[in-house]
Amino acid sequence: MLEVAALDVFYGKQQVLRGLNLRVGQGEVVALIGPNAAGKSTTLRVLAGLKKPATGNIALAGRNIGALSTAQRVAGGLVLVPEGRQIFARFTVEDNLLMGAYARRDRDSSRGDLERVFAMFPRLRERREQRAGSMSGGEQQMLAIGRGLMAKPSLMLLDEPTLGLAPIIIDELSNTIHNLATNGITILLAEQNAAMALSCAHRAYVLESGRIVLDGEAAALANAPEVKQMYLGS
Amino acid sequence: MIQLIIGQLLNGAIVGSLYGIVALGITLTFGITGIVNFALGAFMMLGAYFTWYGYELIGLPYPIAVIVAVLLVATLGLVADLGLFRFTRNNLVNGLLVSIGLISIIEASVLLTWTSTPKDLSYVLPGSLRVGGILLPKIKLAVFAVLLLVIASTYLALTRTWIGRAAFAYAQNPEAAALMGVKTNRLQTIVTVYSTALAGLGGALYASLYSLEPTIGAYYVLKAVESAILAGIGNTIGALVGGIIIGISEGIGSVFLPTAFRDAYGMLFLVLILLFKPSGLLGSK
Ligand SMILES: Nc1ncnc2c1ncn2[C@@H]1O[C@H](COP(=O)(O)OP(=O)(O)OP(=O)(O)O)[C@@H](O)[C@H]1O
Ligand SMILES: [Mg+2]
Repeated sequence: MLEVAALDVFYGKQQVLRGLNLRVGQGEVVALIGPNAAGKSTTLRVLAGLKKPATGNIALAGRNIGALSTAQRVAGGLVLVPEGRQIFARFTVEDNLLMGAYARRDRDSSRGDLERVFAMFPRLRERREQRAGSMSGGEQQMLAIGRGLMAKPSLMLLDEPTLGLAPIIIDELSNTIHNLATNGITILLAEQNAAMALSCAHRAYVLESGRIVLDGEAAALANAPEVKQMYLGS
Repeated sequence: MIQLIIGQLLNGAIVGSLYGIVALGITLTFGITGIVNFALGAFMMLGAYFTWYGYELIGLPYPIAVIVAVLLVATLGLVADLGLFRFTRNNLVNGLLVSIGLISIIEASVLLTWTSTPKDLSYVLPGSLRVGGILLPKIKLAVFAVLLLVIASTYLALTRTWIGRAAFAYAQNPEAAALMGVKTNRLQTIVTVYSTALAGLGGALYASLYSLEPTIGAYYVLKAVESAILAGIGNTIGALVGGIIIGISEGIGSVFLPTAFRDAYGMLFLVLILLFKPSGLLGSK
């Protein structure tokens, strides 16, 4: 579904991604794990079209999307749920969700899709009229994912969704990701929380200083000594 | 006395709505592009002169002259955006410099072409309506009605349409708006041009009531900034209300207090509001 080849990305003179190759198959949940500043967010931002790579190729469903704008990518089903939620703080929960449908051709009839999001996140239904900025971190994360769902994505990029959440909410989030996958949404999940990411994913890549240093089945990686030592704290 | 107060109320409301729609342009442009576009006053003045030219010199019917003037000003706004403002977005200082430069260019061109001699439109809509013994000039009622209509449709467009919602979303979080699929460059251009068109319309309506001079833009844009501050910067609807409040306090103030100080009454009101509510009349926090 998503093929990334030989991606080089710079911020000024500093090279942040070095020859990155990555593949996400249709219906897969793939994790991208790595320490702070490894380049996880940068990878997702490049995929979403927020940051231009110096070189490299990005193909979605066989089509080269490197030249497309963020808006065109969203319309094509590629949606990023960014790090730190980035919800519209002064909008209500409902307006945030509706904004998620902005890029859809049939956005005028998107109101009906609110129900699907509410079915997945009943808490959002209760808070429908609440200002999004006044919700808890966990609720805001649910909202950010729900808003992403309103775009009817085929590929969803999740950047650090566990950031700042309590363990019990993180479990809830794992369930959510399973749910999304069951609903046929392909997922690329960037996470520092390797334990959570590896438990959700089918496959995973380990990113360090802009390079993929390991990749493979999530279950196998979870047992690899390097990963255990570096990321799982055992 | 009642006649005087009602008359001043109407005057204040009209002048205030003019401040208000320029102020709306100021806040909208600032919220979406990060530019304080002082040149909106100059665009307003251009709208007035174009209307005068179309109506007085070409002999177009007034409504057509207004429409042509607004379209011309909007086109110039588009040119200014694509040629200048696009490069200063989110750069307060450069944006300010460009807008001040634009003011000089526009004012100088108008001075050169039409001199500084004040221009007046011959009666656009003569006569008055008598309501309960009070005389209300038809033209003022018509201008006020058009202003209200434009204000109401802008409000509806901002709150009910996708582009309006996108503007509010963008003002809160530009990157998140882009992630929703908002075409951010186009949004900035649309807002800049719409704001210039509003200012142009303000000028076109102004022309039917008062004398034109190349300097009216500077006066109105200062009042507009005052209104925007009164409302709390970034509060779009508040900017309109702020303008109307200032206009009316000037109008009413000059009934009871010396007219020479009319500019001070709005200011006084502004200072009082800011003393008690530093974030502005309708501002949050
Ligand atoms: N806008 C920017 N300007 C300059 N440098 C940047 C910018 N964004 C990221 N970087 C740099 O790029 C590198 C990779 O950052 P990135 O945000 O992709 O890391 P990350 O893996 O997502 O880290 P974290 O887990 O902390 O979110 C870092 O060294 C960072 O300082
Ligand atoms: Mg990150």
